Order: sequence, then structure tokens, then C-alpha cells
Amino acid sequence: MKEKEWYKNIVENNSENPPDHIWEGIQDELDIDGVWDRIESDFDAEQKKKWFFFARVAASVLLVIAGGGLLLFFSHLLQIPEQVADRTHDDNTVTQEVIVDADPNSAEDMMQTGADVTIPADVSDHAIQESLQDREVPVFREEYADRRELYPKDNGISIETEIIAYQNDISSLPAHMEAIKEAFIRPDYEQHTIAANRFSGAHETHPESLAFVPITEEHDVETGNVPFAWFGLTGQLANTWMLNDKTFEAFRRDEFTATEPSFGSNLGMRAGVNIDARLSLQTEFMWHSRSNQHYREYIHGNYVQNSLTLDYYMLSMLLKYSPVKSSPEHWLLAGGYGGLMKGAVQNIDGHTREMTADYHRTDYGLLLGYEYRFGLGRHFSFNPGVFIKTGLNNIFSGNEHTPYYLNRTRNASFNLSFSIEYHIF
Amino acid sequence: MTTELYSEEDILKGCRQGRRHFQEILYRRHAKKMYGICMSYAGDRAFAQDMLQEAFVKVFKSLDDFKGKGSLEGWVRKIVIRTAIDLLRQRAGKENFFDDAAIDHLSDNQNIVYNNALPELGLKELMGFISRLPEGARLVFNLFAMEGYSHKEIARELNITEGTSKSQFNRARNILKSWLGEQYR
Repeated sequence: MKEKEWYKNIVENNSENPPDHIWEGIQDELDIDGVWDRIESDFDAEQKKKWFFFARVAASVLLVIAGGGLLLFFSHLLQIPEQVADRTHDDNTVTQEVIVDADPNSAEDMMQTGADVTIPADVSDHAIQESLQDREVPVFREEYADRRELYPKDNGISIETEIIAYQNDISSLPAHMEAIKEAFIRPDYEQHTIAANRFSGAHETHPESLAFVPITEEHDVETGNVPFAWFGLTGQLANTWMLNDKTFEAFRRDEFTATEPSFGSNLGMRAGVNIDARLSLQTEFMWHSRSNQHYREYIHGNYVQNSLTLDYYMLSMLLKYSPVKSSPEHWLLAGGYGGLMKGAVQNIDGHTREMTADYHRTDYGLLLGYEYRFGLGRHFSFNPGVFIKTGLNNIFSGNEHTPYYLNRTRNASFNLSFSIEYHIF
Repeated sequence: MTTELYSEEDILKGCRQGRRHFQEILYRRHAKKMYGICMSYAGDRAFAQDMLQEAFVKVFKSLDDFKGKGSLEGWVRKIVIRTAIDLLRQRAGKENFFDDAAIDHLSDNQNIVYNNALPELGLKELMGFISRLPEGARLVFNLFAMEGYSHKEIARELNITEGTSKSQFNRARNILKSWLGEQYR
């Protein structure tokens, strides 16, 4: 009878939701039995769930800090013994000293700059001072101490110079070294040039005595030793999480559903500018940023793999800070991100379903990380790093069966990143 | 293959453990459909809401009785129907619950039979007609048209004769058709 079908169709396709007070009434009636026990057990479960989440976050943060600390520690161990160490006086004049035994009476030792340098024994104070005035000399840059690289003005001479001073006791210099002593201690000593022929045999590639200028970060920027800006490509491997009740509950052993590790990859580009030698601003655009969550579920008598995949465009802004002045390779990063969802898909044992309508199009959150900068020549660098990303908003918008508040979900991930940058001076 | 947030097994397990999160998921999953069914039996929203609330309380309290034979929705629906019958009988509370005369006087134009194509109505519009039926007739009509009960089963369920069941259904169907004919000709 078609009237039956007609009638049944109308009733069963009802589009009207029952009012909220019905569910409240149901809860009240259920709560009459064992209300206190339920409150206690729910509270304990909620506390355990929160503790477990924060414990994992804390463990990841400790891992990042430990990794950064190990890198710092080993970078100090790898320093070459003859490497020039810095000592910055209050007046910002940087003196350089070599941690080797030096004979204070040996002019050669005092002025040792290279194997092929012959230092006249009868050089006078005046001569030295004159030399210092005539010759443009490189200035040692503390940031490149490990490479002993100097940045001379374009005098056509490529040189590498080590500065030698009697360790801790410049006043014990021989008399004819007074001018050099002056150079060490005068804070306002300008950069000078020395006539190339002051030292026999020392024309082309000899390390020279140095003039000292106040070494400040601004000076470094002015002389082009800190890149003005950079850009590059970045890729990330991420351990991703969709944090919600289902994910947390699936860690319980007595649940049918189990949460499984999930990974995604991100690809994009980055660009940044230096505010000063230790502080930078960086922006990253990821044209591919994926958030995954895998479950193993028991459905209709079978265990199946249930995967949720959300793809985003992601834009982030980060402040970068180098905490160790003597080790500019280490960088801490902090900032925020915004994401625009490209699509959401659920896959259960090969059967896929579009889920875009169940999730909000936008996401935003915080980023915290660490990077190490491996220099590759003057212009390039390779930057591996670790990041923690956590969303701040609920990305689940709800559907006809599950309102948004029953499945509040946040994105989170722990990322390994690898970037190649080109630096512009 | 379901693509819901939780599988039925997870929901049942959580509900049996008394976890409110899963109870609400079960309720939200079935509430809309069951609310429509309750409205078709109750005839008005307030009574339908009472019916729905009482039915789901029974669902949660008797979940251990569900053994997995058949679908969970079918089992919930049976509880809703049973609750509707009980409440209607309580409210009626009179011996002439299935009185033919109560239907006959509803329309002076029962000879107008609606023969056009059945109109596309929403439940709200249909409720306008259903609510005018006497409760006994409405109950028999729903059990036959919606649930597919035979008159024999209805008679056993409601403790009436098979003839009463047939009579109530036919009268209810004819009066509905005459109302539709008046409204949509």
C-alpha cells in the first residue's frame, strides 16, 4: 500500500530536533542512581586524561631542550685549541688571545701571523704605528672565530690572521710593542691601514697585525657579516595528533578502539629578516601541511583501520633568537600559525568519505622550536630543527549525528624540520 | 561500513559503563528519528517529548538486555513503541479507547476520497491531521502503517479483537484521506 510508504517516509525523515531539555531530563533521571559515584569516576578520568596529555607535552619539551643542550655541549667540545677566544672589555674593544704558550719577549711570537712572515727585529714604536695607520687590516669577527675568517676591505689581499697577545698580560709586552699594546687597549682605535711593504715577504697572503675597532652587533651588520635577509625551502616530518576525547580514551587498555601513531609531512618555503645579529623575524608558508590521526577500531565484529586526514595551507610567523652569543648557530623559535583547510577525508579499510563539512575551514595555534644552522659557504645554510605545534581552537564543526561539543578536537604535532636557506648580505 | 565518530560497539560499551559522553552520542544519533515517531503516536509535541524522554531512560537502563541480535536502532525503536503504547493507554484510561463512533463524527465528508497523488508534506503538516485522530485509532494506524504489525499482532499487543483493529485502521485511513482531499484538491 503506497499510503503506508508515504506516511512512513514523512515520519521517519523528520527534520526537527528534540529540544535540549529532553536530554537534560534524561540525565537527571539517570543521575538519580549512583550520582556521586559517577561524578567521582568522571572527575578522576578527566584528571588522568589531562595529566597524560600534559605529561607527553612536557616530555617533548624536555626532549627539545635536552637536544639543544647536547648540541651546545658538543659544539664546545669540537672547538680547535688554537681557536681564538673572545674577551670583550667593557669598552667593547675585543681583544683576541691564543691559548698557547707564547714567549712575551719574542717579537715573532707576539706578531706571529703566518709561516712566511718575517718581522723586522728593529721595528720601532713609530714604525709600527705608522704601519697601522697605512695599512687596511682585517678585523677579527668573533662570530666567525671557528673559521678564522676575516672580512677585509677590498684591498685585494686575501688574508687570514690570527691575533696573538700574551695571554692575560698585555702590559708585559716588550717595549717596541707598545704601539700594539695601544691598539689592544684603546677603545676608540679606528681601523687603520698598513703599508703592504712594511714586512718583508709579506705582500700577498700574510696575516698582519690587527687594528681593533669596537666590535658591536651594529658594526657587524654594517660591515656585512650578518645576513640582512634570507629565503629558502623547508620540509617537515611530523608526528601528528588530533586531540579529542576519542583519541585520549583510545589509550585505555579496556577500550575497543586503539589510537595508533600518525605521521604527516609538510612542505613549504620560508623567508626572514634579521633585526640584529641574534634576533630575527621569519615567516613560513606551507603549501602542503597534513594532520593525520589513525585508530584501530572494532566495527561490526571486525577490527578495521580508521584514518582521518586533514590537509591545510599554513602560514606561520616566528621570532628567532640566538641565546648563546658565542654560538650563533643555535636558534630558538616561537610564534604562531594560521591554517586554511584544503580538505578532510576519512578512510576505513580503503573506503573513503569526504569529511570537509564536519570540520572548520580555519585553524590557528602556537609554534615553539629549536634550529641549528650549518653554514654552507657564505650564502647558504642547512637548518635542521625540532618544533612543537599546538592548535588553540576546536576544528570539529559537528554533523547531523554528533554536535561539535561532543567531539572537540585540536591539532597538535611534533615536527622534525629540514631547511635550506640562501642568505642575502 | 559506518563512518560515524564511534562504532556501535564503542558506544554500547561506553553506555554500559555509564559514561555520559557515550550516552549522549547514542541519544543524539537516534533522537531525531525517534522524536518523529513519538510525534506520530502522541499527536502533540509536549506529549511526544515526554514519551521520548521516558523511552530513552528505559533504553539506557536496559542496555544490558541488548544482545546484539538485530540493529541497535531497531532495538531502541521497539522500546520507544512500547513506551508510546503504555503512555497512551495510561492517558486514555477509558474503556472506549477504540471507539468507532469517536472517529465517525470527525468528518461530515467521508465520502470525499482523496485520489490524487499523495502530497509532499512535512511532519509538521501531517501532525496537523494526525493529532485530530482519536488516540486509539492513531495508535492502531501507526502500528499498522509505520511498524508493519499485522492486525493479529496489534490485537494481541493491545488486547483487542482483530476486527476492532481492522475497523480502527480503516476508519483512520479514510478520515485522513478525506482531510487530505479537503485540503489539497
